[in-house]
Amino acid sequence: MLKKEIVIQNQTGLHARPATAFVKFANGFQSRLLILYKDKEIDAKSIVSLLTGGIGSGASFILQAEGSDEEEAITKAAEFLESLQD
Amino acid sequence: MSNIANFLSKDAIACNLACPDWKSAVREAGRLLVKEEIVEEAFIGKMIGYVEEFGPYIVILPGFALAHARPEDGALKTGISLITLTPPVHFGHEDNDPVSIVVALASSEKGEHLECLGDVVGLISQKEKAEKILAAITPEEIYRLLI
Repeated sequence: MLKKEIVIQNQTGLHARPATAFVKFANGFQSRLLILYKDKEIDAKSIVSLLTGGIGSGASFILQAEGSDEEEAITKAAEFLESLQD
Repeated sequence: MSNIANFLSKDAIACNLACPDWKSAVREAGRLLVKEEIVEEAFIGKMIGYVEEFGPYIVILPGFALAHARPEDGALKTGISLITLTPPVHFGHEDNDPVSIVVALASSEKGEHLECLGDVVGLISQKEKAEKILAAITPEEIYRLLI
């Protein structure tokens, strides 16, 4: 299992459009991808989980990947999240 | 009770509208926001514009579209409207068409937008709840299901 700390840097946070794009991206990996934010465990492969997570601009959380492609998954997912556009 | 009561009034709900296409559905939902003085008229065109620009990503769940624009697009305060569509309308989404419930969301502040969005999505994603909303024939019924 791998973990990485992420800070959301775009102005509008993980709202509908970036969240939809991220879920699609996350589903391309075999690994389970979780976002540990506040007291919540957010399934990065579920749009509902992600949108109810309320991850706004400036939010910092732990991204966690577990599975056969966890290394690639965490690296690419982290890149994706850190370069979100508004 | 969810936070939705803070963002939704009974008068911002309409049932079983017959809309010929997705633009007209988004316009109807937007019109309710204008009527409730949540957004300026221009906000409606922006909601439609984002779909034209970025595609039908607003259909975030099967049968459910979340129309929205940015705070600076004419949002006066934070609020939502909700319409149900009979018959359902196609937005061109590869997985989640056709759409029977449209929520239009506006917020004057970015943080609030996310909080409100999460509450709405949390509710609509409950299958049983969504079915009851679709079966409702008055705005009061839908309002009671949501708050």
